[in-house]
Order: sequence, then C-alpha cells, then structure tokens
Amino acid sequence: MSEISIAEAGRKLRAGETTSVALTQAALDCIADRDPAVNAFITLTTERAMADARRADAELAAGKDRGPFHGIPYGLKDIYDTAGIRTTCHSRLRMDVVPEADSVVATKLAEAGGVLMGKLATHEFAIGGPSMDLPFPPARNPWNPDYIPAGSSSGSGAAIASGMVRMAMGSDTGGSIRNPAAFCGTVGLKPTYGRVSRRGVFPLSTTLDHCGPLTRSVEDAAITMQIIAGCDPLDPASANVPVPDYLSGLEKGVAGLRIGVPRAFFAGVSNLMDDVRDGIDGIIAKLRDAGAVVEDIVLPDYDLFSTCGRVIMLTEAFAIHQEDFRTRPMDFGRMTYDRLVGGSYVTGPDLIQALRVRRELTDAVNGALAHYDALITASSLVTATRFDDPPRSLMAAAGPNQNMPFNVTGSPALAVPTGLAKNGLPIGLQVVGRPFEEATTLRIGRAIEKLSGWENIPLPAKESRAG
Amino acid sequence: MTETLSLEAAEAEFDMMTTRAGIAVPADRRPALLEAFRDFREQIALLHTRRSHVAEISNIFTLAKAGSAK
Repeated sequence: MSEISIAEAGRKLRAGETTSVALTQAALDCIADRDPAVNAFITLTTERAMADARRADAELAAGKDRGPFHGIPYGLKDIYDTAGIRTTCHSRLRMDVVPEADSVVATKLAEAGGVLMGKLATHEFAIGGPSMDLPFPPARNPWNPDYIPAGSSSGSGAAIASGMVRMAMGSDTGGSIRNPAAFCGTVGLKPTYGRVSRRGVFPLSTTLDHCGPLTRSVEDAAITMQIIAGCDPLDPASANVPVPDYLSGLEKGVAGLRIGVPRAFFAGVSNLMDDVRDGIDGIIAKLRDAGAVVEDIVLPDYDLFSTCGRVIMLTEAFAIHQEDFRTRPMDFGRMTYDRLVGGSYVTGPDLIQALRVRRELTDAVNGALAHYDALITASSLVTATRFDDPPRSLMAAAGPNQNMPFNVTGSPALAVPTGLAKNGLPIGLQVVGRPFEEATTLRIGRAIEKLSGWENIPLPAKESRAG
Repeated sequence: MTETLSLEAAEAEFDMMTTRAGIAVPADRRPALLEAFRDFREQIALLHTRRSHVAEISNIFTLAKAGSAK
C-alpha cells in the first residue's frame, strides 16, 4: 500500500477499489511489522484510526467527499497537540500532558478526512537527540537500524521510509524536516515562515519554527500543503497571503526556469561526500538538458548563516525552557540539557547582532532570488551516520546538514531524494524558493524527482542493512 | 571581539553566564560544556563586525517582491 500515492489511493477509494479501513489496516500491519526495529511511533492511536477510517468510508458512501486527503492515513510528530491524546515532546517532563484541543494542523487534517495513526518520535523538545536516556527509544533509520534517521522529525522520516504512512508532519527550526528527509530518503518541505500555522505545536524557537510535511513523493507534499497552508489570525507569525493551487503546475517541468547554485556553501567543505557532490552535479546537468538555466551564484558565507541561526535558536529555546531548566534540570535528557544550556552563553548584544545579520542575509537571499526562480544546494553533505559514530563537539560549527540558512531567511525549502550512494544509503539536495512561492519550489522538486529516477527506487526492505 | 579566550578567562565567563542564568552545572558535565562554550563564543565573534544602520532588526521578513530590498 505504501507504494500507492495519496492521489492514487484517493482514486481507488472513489472507484470502490479499496476502502479507508483497508488502507488503515495495511498501515497498522506495516507498523506492527516494522516499528519494533524502527521506533517511529511513540503513541499508536489504533482505535482513533479505525474510527476515522470507518467514518471516511461512510461519508464517501453517502456522497460526502472531503477532497484528496479523505481516508488517508498519516502521522504527527509528537509536538503537535492532539485533543485527548498525550503530546509528550519525547520528554520526561511531559509524560502526562494530554491537550484539550488539537493543533491547527491536526484540525485541518482531520477536517480533510485524514486518518490519524498516532504520534511520532522526535528529538526531545525537537532539539535533544538522538538520545538513549529518554522515556522512549530513539527512532532508527529504515535503511539500516544501526544508523540514525536524523532529526528532529526522526519518527516522521522513519515512518515514511519504512512505508507505514505516506505523509507525516514534522517541524523545522534548523533543518528538522529536511535532515531526516535527507537521511531517510523522503521528500521534506519546510514552507515559507508564516505559511502554515504553528498554533498548538510546542515551540523550539518561535522566529525560526516552521511546520511542514515529510512525504514519499513531491505530489504527496503538494496535496498536504493544499490542506495545511493558510492564514491563522491567532498565530502571531501567520502571513495573510493567498494560498495558490499547489498541484496544477506540478508537472510543468523546468524549461525556461532559472536556478542559482550557491556552490561555496557545500563544494569546499571537507566532509562533503563525493557521492553527494556528484549527485548534485548530475541533477544540475539533467536540469540543463531539460531546459533550465542553472548558474553558480555567490551568497554570504555559510558560517554566517549557521552562527546567526544557532544564536537565535538557542537563545529563544533557552527562554522557553528557562523555568524548567532552573527547577528540574535533570529531567531533561543529557543531550537536550547540553544543547539548551548554550542559550545562556549568548549576551544581549550577541542576539541583537544576530538579528541584524539575519536581516542582511534575508535581503541577500531574496536579492539573489530576484534573478532566479529557485536555488539548489546540498541538504546533507553526507549519507546517514551510525548511532555509534563519535559525537562532534556540542557546538561544532560544521555539521553535516546545511539547512539552517533557510530558517534564518524564512524561505521555502524542499528536500528531495535523488538516488542512492555507493553505500546504498539515500542522497539528495534541497530546492529553495522565493517567499510564498512553494508552488514553484514543488514544481522544480517534482522535475528532479522524475529526472533522478527516485520514484522508481523502492523503499528499504525490513532486512535492509545499507551502509 | 574575535579573540580566543584563554582557558582561565573562559572558565570565569562560563561560570558568570551560567550562574546569572540560574544554572548549576553538574561537575561531570562541566568539561564538555566548557569546551562547547569556547567553540560557540568563537563562532559568535563572526557576528560582531561593523554593520550599516540599514541592518536593523525590524521587518526581517517582508512581503515585498523578492529582491526589492536591494
């Protein structure tokens, strides 16, 4: 069932060739088979899922059609509030938290007829992981459970890559949708800041937080965006910008589009894998053959983006957790503690300088996008790493993921898998669009998906031990 | 602002900042956190170069057409 797209599942539902109950049961069977090794789910909502599915089938039978997500199973990262279902943030501090109301995204997906399968693993409070000292085990990479799926939307990436669901919501503050998408070989979209409501989603860093989907395909992401995008007057950062049709232009290709490549971001970095570099260059060549104009461009130094984003993120995160940090610090997992404490290292002038730099960097990226329809750059410099790889310094500047720049700028950014490295693990890249032009970003991502042949690469089998 | 802190200076600053934030750092975590503190302070120095008055923090995100800020 996992190889049937959301659109195809919808066609089958309406043709009477399957039912939502059958799709849901298939998802439950897959979860029962794969999750003991992958740990994608913290809370499985079987009864809720079957009730959602039965209602979806009954409504379709009665002629009530809620649209393309009607009857489709999905998951939510366990930082999205769900009424009556615990929302733990993968943390000992929130084991008994049962929200009274749904997050806005959960409400929209339910109103669209979606079938909630459960709540998915994350790094603690979307920052501390992968960790073995939390109340739930860390999610593992379906391509090889000895490897990390990256995070913080780790369960979301693992659930998609193991075929449990076609769509799982994540959140992205410094790459937390695109990191697991890169390591697990899924599509991951961080929409423009303000495009999707964050109300009811536990914050990490409010000026950098974005909600978005991880999916099996670009089309699945476009369908999801059509449901979750839109202004929310009660989210202070929500933008009142019209929501376009994300699907109608998806297959238009890239002929005539202009794409910039900030090559210095990744090309000279010492830990860039040859397969990742070759994969990006191969896609660029195919985009040119397909009629796109692709040119190298120069942006400010990557380290400036990275430092700017991390100063803001750690300061805002520390402010959010300060009271618990003072009163019950040992209830945080060790990695969460060690990262959050970095917020106390930032002075007032540091933060103000970071915000001023942010303005400059945002102008620089938007300035480049005045001349290009999108940018292409690396998402991760490497394939997935092992759980037992030596940890980097807690504050090391050069991590393997290069996603923070577009949290700083608020740009839409789409991680797209493009193939497998020689070690059998996924590689990919990211497409960065103009503010609120997710439709073009998705269109380019769809072209890359086809040009790369990724859509013909099967998901990893249960026995997969790539790497 | 770009100097590398000596270990002694870093320790003093680390203690001052964590104390002011109300944090009692466990002894067994101190060495790794102190190393991270020194790394992070060096990176933060990147932000402290002279900037024009145009670089102000209001309206970081605008709905102006892409590039019009140039």
